[in-house]
Amino acid sequence: MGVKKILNNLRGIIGLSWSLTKANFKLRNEGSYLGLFWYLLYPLLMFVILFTIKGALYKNTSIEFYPAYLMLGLIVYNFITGTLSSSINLMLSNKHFIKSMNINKNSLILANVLQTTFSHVFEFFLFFVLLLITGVPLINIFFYPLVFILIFFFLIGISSIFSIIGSYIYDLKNIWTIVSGILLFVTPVAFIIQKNTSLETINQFNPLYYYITLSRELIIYSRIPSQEIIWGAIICSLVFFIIGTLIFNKFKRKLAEVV
Amino acid sequence: MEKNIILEAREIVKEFSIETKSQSLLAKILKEILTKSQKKKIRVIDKVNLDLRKGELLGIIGRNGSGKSTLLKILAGIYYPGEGSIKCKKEPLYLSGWGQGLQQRLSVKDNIFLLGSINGLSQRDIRKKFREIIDFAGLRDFVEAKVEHLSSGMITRLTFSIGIHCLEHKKPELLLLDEVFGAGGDLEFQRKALEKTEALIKTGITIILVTHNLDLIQKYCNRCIWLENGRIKMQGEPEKVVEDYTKSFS
Repeated sequence: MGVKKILNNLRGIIGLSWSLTKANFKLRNEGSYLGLFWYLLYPLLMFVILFTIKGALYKNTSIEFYPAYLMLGLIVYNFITGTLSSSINLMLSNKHFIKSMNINKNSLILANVLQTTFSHVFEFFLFFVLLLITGVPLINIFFYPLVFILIFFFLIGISSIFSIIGSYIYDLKNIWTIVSGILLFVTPVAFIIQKNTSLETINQFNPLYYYITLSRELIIYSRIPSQEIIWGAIICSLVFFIIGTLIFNKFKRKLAEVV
Repeated sequence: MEKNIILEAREIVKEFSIETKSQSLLAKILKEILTKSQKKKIRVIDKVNLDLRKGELLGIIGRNGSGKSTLLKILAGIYYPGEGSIKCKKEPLYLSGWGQGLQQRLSVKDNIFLLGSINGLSQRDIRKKFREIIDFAGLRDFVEAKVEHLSSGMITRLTFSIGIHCLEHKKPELLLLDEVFGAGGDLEFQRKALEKTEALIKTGITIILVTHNLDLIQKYCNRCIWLENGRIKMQGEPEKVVEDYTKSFS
């Protein structure tokens, strides 16, 4: 396949993904009285709850710039778990396209990630306001696109896997609800992980840990993250992107019959 | 593959499972443990061979459930063949009929942009074609109306208009058409739809046409296939095939 054809294919996928994203965005907000406010309500509520819990249970544990620490952890967690949650039913909810048209199915994956990126941008606005209020330097926010690109590729890969498994096994939705709940408390979203604990060992296998820590180090604490965190995030993105794409391309031709 | 053959299908077989879907993981595991029986399958396409020459217009007819649409979807790449092989020199463009792919809760305008994109047009191309699509469908006063509020005739007009204008723009070399001739629209629209289709045929494009409209088959097709129970019952001159097919109902 020539470079020109690859570029044309890529342009086609991006164009279609954009159309699907816009359509899904309209469908999601259709008839909603509060509209975009709903995008902010959930992270705000979670922030208040976790902030209160931390204040009550861990009075002696001091975390510098805690409000920003918590909010950034929450929005990265929401971005990843929210995208995966919607990717499980992705093929089923688009079966009217898959069964009747020769739609590029990779576009459905990209559109889903783009759609949750919208929510992520709104949530990031909350974080920005919090930085202003708490006096954390704003300049480092320009590092976030680097972290975002890594998360984006990770999400494309793992969403591809989830969408395929979700098409075959309906239970994945329920399993993921439980797993994502556990992840909220295993991942250092609201708390700090102590050194040399079992939780630290577990998090070495948790991609969310790398992305959340990477973003906090760069944006809130103005520090260059450790080699382990940088390479952990890069490897997670690359490995999941490659494996996810391979799995999706292998199974996508059967989707019209499965959904 | 011969030089002038654009599509070659050999010994195509397609089976579908006719069991109730039980995709709960627990149900799947229990079923595997408790039942030893083979999965019930129905053979929808049974060893079909097909060659399509460049510029040829091949009609496929048959009763409901004979496998026409499934065969077309296999050739389009929507379904994969269970057995057999398909060689295709040109990327086929598949269009199917009534209301396919329309999002009921989106407006006419949004659906035009969405289906245009799915059919491979860029946003800029769709913007250029937008007025033509709307005018052809006769839906100028319904641009912002949701599709769920349109009548069935309006939906037919909209689907056909989007499809045919996408085709005009993309100019594919191989076209797979599944009942797309505006049936369900009023007489005026059917006339317009036929004119558009005739203009498309005259461009010399290679087409496989699945339809119940036998007049259309006789008028335009070079060759006709009669499909019955997933097998080719007869193929050849459209007049002869249509005649025998019609007799089979008496």
